[in-house]
Amino acid sequence: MLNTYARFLGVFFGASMILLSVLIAVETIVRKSFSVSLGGVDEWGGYAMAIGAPIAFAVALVEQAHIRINLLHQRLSRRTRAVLNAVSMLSMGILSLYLLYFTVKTVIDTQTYRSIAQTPMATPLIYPQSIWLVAMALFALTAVLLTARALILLAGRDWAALNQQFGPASAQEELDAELEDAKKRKEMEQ
Amino acid sequence: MNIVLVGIGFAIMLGLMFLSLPVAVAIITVGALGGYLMYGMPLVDMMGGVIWSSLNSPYILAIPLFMLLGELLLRGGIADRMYDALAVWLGRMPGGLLHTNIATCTLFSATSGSSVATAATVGTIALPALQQYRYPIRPSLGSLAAGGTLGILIPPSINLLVYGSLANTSVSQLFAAGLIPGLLLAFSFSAYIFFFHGNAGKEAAEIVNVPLSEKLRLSKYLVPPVLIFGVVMGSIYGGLATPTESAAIGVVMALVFVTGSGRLSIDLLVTCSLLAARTTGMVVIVLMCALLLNVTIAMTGATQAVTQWVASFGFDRLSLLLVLLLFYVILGTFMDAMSMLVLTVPITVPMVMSVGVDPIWFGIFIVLMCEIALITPPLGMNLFVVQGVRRDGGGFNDVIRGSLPYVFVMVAFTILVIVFPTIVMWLPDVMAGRR
Repeated sequence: MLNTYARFLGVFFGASMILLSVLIAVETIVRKSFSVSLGGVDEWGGYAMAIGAPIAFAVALVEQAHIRINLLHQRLSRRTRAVLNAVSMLSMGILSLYLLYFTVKTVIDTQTYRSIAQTPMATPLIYPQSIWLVAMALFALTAVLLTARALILLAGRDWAALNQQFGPASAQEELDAELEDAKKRKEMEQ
Repeated sequence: MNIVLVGIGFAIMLGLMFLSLPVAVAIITVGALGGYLMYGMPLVDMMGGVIWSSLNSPYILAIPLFMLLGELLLRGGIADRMYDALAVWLGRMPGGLLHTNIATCTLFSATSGSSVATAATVGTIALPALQQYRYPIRPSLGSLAAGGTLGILIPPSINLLVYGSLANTSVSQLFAAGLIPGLLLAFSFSAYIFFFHGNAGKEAAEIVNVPLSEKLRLSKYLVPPVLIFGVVMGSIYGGLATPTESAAIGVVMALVFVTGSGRLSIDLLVTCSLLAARTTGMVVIVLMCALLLNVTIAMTGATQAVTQWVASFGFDRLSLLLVLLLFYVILGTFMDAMSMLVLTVPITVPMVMSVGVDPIWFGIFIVLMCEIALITPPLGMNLFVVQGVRRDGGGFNDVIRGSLPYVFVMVAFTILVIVFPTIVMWLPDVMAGRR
């Protein structure tokens, strides 16, 4: 189920980026060829990045892809590794709430002062920031749920499951995935 | 703020990372706690206010777009055929297919930002051929591991994009600065093969003795990657488009080529989207946390403390850079390239600028350091990947030994760009009309 969730978020992210690429490409070519600016695409790009980032954080989180240095980790006992994996997940949970807290604060300020983007479009910032808040909340929710799961496993002293589900994505897994994909492409070639 | 406190902060950060906590968490913990201890809640609030402005950025948008471009070219099969196309041209040089490894990695680098994907793809295609023609194993593995590192120097490079955001420098200029050193480094690798492994692959000569018509036929596979690279980089260098805009044009071109080759499918788009989202999440969260840490660094005067401390040694430009070279080579043996970059840039950039180093030049220097980090044991990502790709069951030591000469080539090359900074600065200077 987690994989489906990550796929869903990933597709949302990818589709937005592809759509944005087409828009930006068209705008750039039209602007350079006819000196006519469609205007605002740059600004939209910024908003899309702000909204897409928490979604991407969530995808990386579900796939345990956030950068961790496992030089020492891989040399520790199974139990110590499991505890560190739970602590790492907890720390990501806290980070997500920290980010959400400031996101809420920023949005409240925007609403209070009716802030407007310093751009020709003068977009009221509350529009993009509301969607940003939803994205950030989604990231926080994902992180909190995963943290709860990690803590339950920790309480149940289920070291194996903790290491399997919350261990840093090893280079071996990444490589295996690459090799699998390379094989698939080779087959399509023939 | 004194230097001891900065040192303690850095040590805590390293300690948290060694406990295998996520790098983003280690950075933000020191940033937020450090800020809180020095100035209380107002500083932490200030950091919070930066989250929106650090993410709402058309510059950072270039990261997911270049990721997506790389995935489309790789998963769409456009990158795979480059090896065959290059092998027929380069196989007869002294050193044979080893040059093909370097050249394919170079071209691959110009399209993909992932060194794992580069080494895995080129390795899977190259190693069977190398073994069939009895190429010595160590130089073969070394050329793949080292070739794979070129990806982060030759633009488009995610590492340069991240550096640009952290050091507040122009990404277009950085991309311009990376091109000539990237190509020269690839030539240096080839020169090393030419002189030290010139005898390798003598037996392979007959396979590559193919008629010119066949060579030209295979060369058509080079057209899409070269064309995309040309348009993307050309539009940046010509000042026609920002890196984000050119990345978007690249994505559209890649979609057209993948459609043309009949490989476009929903499945492909889903895979590319998911992978681009994952790597974007990985990189951008670390970048965002580093930008938040920058607030603390700026407010607490940590930069001045470090700069003054370094000045007290009376280093000139040359000696400071040599010390940093040593520092980074050591740091890179146990730290991954991206973490090393985000962790040190906020401090080292002001440090070197105080002795007159151009931040654009320093970006290239630091990426060279990241490249070395990728092939120095015990934690060299590319060493591990190349070892994982081989199927002959040999020991890890072969990869380490095979790659070691390239570490020396890179260190020598870095010293060369320290002595002749023009190698880096010529193209960005021309672009900016300074030359």
